[in-house]
Amino acid sequence: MVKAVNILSLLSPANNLKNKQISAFPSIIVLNAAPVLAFYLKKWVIAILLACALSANVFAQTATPPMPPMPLDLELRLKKLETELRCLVCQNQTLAESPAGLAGDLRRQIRLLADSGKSNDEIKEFLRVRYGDFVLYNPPVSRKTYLLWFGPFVLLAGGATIAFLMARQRRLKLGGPQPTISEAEQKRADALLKGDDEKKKYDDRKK
Amino acid sequence: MAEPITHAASNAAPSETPSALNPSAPNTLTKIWRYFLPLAIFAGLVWFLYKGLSLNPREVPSALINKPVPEFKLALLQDGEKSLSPADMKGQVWLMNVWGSWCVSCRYEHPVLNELAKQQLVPIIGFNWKDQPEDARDWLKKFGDPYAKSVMDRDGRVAIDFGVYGAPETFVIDKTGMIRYKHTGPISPEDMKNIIVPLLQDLKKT
Repeated sequence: MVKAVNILSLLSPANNLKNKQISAFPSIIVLNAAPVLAFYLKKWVIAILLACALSANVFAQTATPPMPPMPLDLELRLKKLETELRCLVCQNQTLAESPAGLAGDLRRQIRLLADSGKSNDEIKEFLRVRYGDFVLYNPPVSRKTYLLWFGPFVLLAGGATIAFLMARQRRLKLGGPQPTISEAEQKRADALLKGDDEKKKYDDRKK
Repeated sequence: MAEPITHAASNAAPSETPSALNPSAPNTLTKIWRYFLPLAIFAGLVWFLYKGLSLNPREVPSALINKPVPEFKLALLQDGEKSLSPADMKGQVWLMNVWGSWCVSCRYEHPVLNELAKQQLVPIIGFNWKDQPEDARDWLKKFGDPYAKSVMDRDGRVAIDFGVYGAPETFVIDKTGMIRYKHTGPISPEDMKNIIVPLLQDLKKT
């Protein structure tokens, strides 16, 4: 696979642009080239992925006939679907990226199902019935997964309630029996809040 | 004179002497709680994490428990002309053991199966998964053949219907053709003695 990438990237016009970018190409041109570069890169990445998938298939099929080539849009649809499914052997990898033998078998099965006109949901159900919810990276909402789906919201609500209660308690404490002050003290306080000039006036008047 | 006012203002920050303003201040017990609550939460967290250490993430509960055994018709390993399907096993309790000559853990498990076969409690059907028939036959010659019959699933298609994701795996199927139990990974002598044999005896009675 490494070899294939190297050869393809040498041929790729996108790669030529990238090389120039490295060799102190005026940045403004590089900026203009970026979308073009991305476009070419995308195309080549897809081509490389397809090439790898096809060659991997040839090697994997010692006992079974090779898969018929698929239209590009279907291939892309299935690649996306496979990223939503878990490989049960590697567990933390998706079916799309797992090199395990079982993942290859399952990818093949998915292709056969898709070829016979099954939708993504039907294919997911096919796997769920056999391997359980674990095969789905996006677990369905059920009694078993309530905690998983709603647990964080419950924690958030709990935290918010505690914060609210603490705030209210503090407010009640402050709003509780306040120290009483006389009218004169109140006036002086107001004066102090207004500033020194006012205070002076007050003091003068007092005298 | 200005004292009370400035004091009240500074009270906006957490008060160190709530009792001064609030006569019904929290008593010592609730105060202690306040310090122990985080500790309790932490202890709970540690318990969950510790529990998680002893769980085996590889053990995925089977979706097929209490479901009818998937239909199949596969050629026999010893005689490719003949085949076996679950219908042939109806009326008896049986064990289906997924194995392959390429599977190292199967070798570890094999003596346990040989031992069970000697007891003649139930027939064991070998499910030879993604293997070369010659290799599989050689393997059985070398390590003994506990299987009443062995079927070949060379491309792994039927294994998908069983939700197989590794070898060895063992299914216990009752008289009506329902899957009652699945063991993932090699069966240890203890598992056989404490879980599988009692279950088989129970199922045979019904």
